[in-house]
Amino acid sequence: MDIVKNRLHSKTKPMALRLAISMALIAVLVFALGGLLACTSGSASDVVVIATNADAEAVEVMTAALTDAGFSGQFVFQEMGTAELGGRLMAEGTSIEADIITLASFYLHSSQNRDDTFLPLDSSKTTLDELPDYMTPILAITGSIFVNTELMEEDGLPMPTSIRDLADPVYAGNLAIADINSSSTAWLLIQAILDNYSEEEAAEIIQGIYRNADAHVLPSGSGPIRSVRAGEVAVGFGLRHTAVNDYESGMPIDFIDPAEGNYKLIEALAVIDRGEDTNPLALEMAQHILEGGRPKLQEHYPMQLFAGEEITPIHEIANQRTFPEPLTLELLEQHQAIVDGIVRSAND
Amino acid sequence: MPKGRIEVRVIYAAVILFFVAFLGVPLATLFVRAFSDGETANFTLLNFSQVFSHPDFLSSLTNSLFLSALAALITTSLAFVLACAVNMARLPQWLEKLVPIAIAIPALFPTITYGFAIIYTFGRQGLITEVLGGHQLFEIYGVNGLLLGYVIYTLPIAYLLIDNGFRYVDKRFFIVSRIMGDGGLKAFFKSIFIPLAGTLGAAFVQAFALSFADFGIPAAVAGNVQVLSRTLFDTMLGAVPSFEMGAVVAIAMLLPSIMSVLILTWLDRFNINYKKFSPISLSKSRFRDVSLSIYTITLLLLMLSIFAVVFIIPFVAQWPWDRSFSVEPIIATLTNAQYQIIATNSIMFAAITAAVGTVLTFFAALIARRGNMPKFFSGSIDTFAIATNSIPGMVLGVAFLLFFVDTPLQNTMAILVLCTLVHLFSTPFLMFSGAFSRMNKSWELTAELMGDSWFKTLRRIIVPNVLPTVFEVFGYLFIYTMVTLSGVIFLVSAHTTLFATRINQLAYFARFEEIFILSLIIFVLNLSMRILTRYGARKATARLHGSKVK
Repeated sequence: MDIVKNRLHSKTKPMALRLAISMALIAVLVFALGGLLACTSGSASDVVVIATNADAEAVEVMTAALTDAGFSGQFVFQEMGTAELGGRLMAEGTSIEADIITLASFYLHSSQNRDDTFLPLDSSKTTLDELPDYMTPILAITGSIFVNTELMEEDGLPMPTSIRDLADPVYAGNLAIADINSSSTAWLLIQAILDNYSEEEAAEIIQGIYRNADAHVLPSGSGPIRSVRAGEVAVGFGLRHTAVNDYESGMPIDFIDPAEGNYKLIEALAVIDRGEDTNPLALEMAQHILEGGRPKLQEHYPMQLFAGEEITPIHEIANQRTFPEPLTLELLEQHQAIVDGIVRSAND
Repeated sequence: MPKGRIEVRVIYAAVILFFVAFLGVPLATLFVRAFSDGETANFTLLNFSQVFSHPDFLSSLTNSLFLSALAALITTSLAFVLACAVNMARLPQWLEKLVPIAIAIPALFPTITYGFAIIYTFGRQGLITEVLGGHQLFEIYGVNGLLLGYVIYTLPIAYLLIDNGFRYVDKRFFIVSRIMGDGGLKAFFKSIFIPLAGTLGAAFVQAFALSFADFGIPAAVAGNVQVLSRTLFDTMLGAVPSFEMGAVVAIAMLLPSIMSVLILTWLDRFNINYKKFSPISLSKSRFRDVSLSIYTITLLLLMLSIFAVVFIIPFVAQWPWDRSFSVEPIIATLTNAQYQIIATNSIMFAAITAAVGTVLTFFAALIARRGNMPKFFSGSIDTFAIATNSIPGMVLGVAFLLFFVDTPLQNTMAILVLCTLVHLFSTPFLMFSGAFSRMNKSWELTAELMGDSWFKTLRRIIVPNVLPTVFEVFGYLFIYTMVTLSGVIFLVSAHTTLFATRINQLAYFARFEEIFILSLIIFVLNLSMRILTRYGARKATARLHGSKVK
């Protein structure tokens, strides 16, 4: 009897109710996603995003500077390659996700010229190089040759003294460099070649170097020193200070300032101008990164940027050179095309 | 809209809506962008001619096709012999038990880990290189490294497919063939190889499609060999990003994958399923058993030895110079505030995707198998499921990026979850489909006659009966969400960084120590989830059978 009753009962249960139950089920699903959306985007807006192409050491220093200033939990770093971050900045302009950018200065230049991307910054410090007011330098990098002394001995290799030497076939398969299409460190190498040699000589040297490096043309500027450290190759060209630090810490690493001279790049910080939507914390943090972080940054990247800074003798460079033309994104693209052309013609 | 129960109709509408919104529309956007001018949005074929006339693109496409096919061939051959060893030889008991456990291990790591593990195993100062006295076996960057990575990645899947195929091959035919006077090889060919041809083809195509769409392995070991997934990444996020060109490359990547699925459907016809099969006692052959045992051990050892570095390097002070034991690197990572955020993101991402995905695939499969809908409607869900299987994660990621740019979904965790739900839909759907098909067809009707509502039936009868599958599906989704890189690489933001995408960033800076530490954390999380869900599934099965006995 009960069964019949129940059966009748379910038959008479209004359709609307059943519809409501199933709708409720779907609503749970939608709300789960919606709630998720709300909570992620809600918390996101207060947090300052700092996009950077800097190495781990620099990110650590900047993190410490901000944490010491009491910003813990209010910022997040987004680490990217130079080309990736630069590409994004050029493509997205002020709609980029980041609030603060630290990047090679020439990228910041090009972006500001095209899109008016950045806010002016006040700085009381005097920079050695003249820079526009919307950026402030945080560190400078310079390139050098370095070797793994154990491997050099093992493989019986001669010590290179110039970048030209790196094109010598004795280093075939034993050389690591960075890729100019993704790394600004690689540009230090190419600048040195293009500045010192004639067009034909430069083509020959670049060909030789790329042939020797082969699979060890690495995406990032810190790649070559890691390959040399890990013993994947004996010789590399990359960031000078990393090799100096390794040498000083007793690793079997030595560094050689090339006869062609050491070229340099400035990495700078800028704050995105979002008008009224600009996160007020961003400017404050920029100030703290510079003031709290610069002394430590200079320790890691020992080059003078501001008046009154000093460096230890081992980091002093006898033959510091500057490329004759101003460094711009357009010039980089020109050099990338030259290198691509040379490498491709060599492969054909 | 199918006629019938209102619940079924509403769920059907919701599932179809889900696919239209998160598969159909993004893909349509992808095609529109590929065929339109970046600035004026007019129709153009210029993007295609520009991409296809680029010499690097064509070499990248042919490299991808060739290397994936070669890797698939090697994988299928290795997997076939392994399946033969397990199914046709008398392996030692322990070995037979070990195979399914060992073969499941690589899937617990993201593929990007494979590449770095290869470098630290076979590189100049790699583990195996050192064991062999500093003699490097082969050049790892480029073709060799890619092939090795692809094979390790696809071997487990190929093996599982072939091993499953073996279950439907009646090995008595082999004996009959021998009795009728065929030689060993001929009998093997006729009674084992031919019936398995469809499965072998399927394993080949599956391995090909996975290698072709993979981003993690090339990201680590491709050297200067360009493959399509790298080209796509560089086009979308490189020095000169172009979404239009990226859309074209994505479409180029999509086509071979769609072809693969069509071939898979076609191959299905060649599967010969014997209705009756019984265990047979194998003839005695010491030579066969010993050689196949050695083969199995060697293959598993080789496969797993590559992952040894993941367990060693995190505990070493500074590889390769200072090899003293140290837990400092791990502690530094675990206490790092940034990594705590990444860990929270990753676990939340995997857990939410697994929970929502389990519910979604459960209902989709439920109405497709037990909704009493006309074939057209249940078939439409199957078609969507197959479609999700054919789309490489990166292509889906690009489509999502293009469609959801400047919407509130951009840069959120929700977009990651949605993209991954679509990306991983097919396998859990098939798992539930299988479970629902095996259940008695008349349960719902009986329950209804007894006066239970549809939801009551669901709760009291259907869910308890598929509970083991619910655990399996949850575990599958959690693990695969944790290791996915290709699907999320274009969608992560500063606030939604995940373990796998962080490894990709670290790869750029060549920070291997941290890469291995993160890989180890992923492995531990995934292994715990696997053990938990396996335990849950076993408990649920036991309960089910226990109540049946009563």
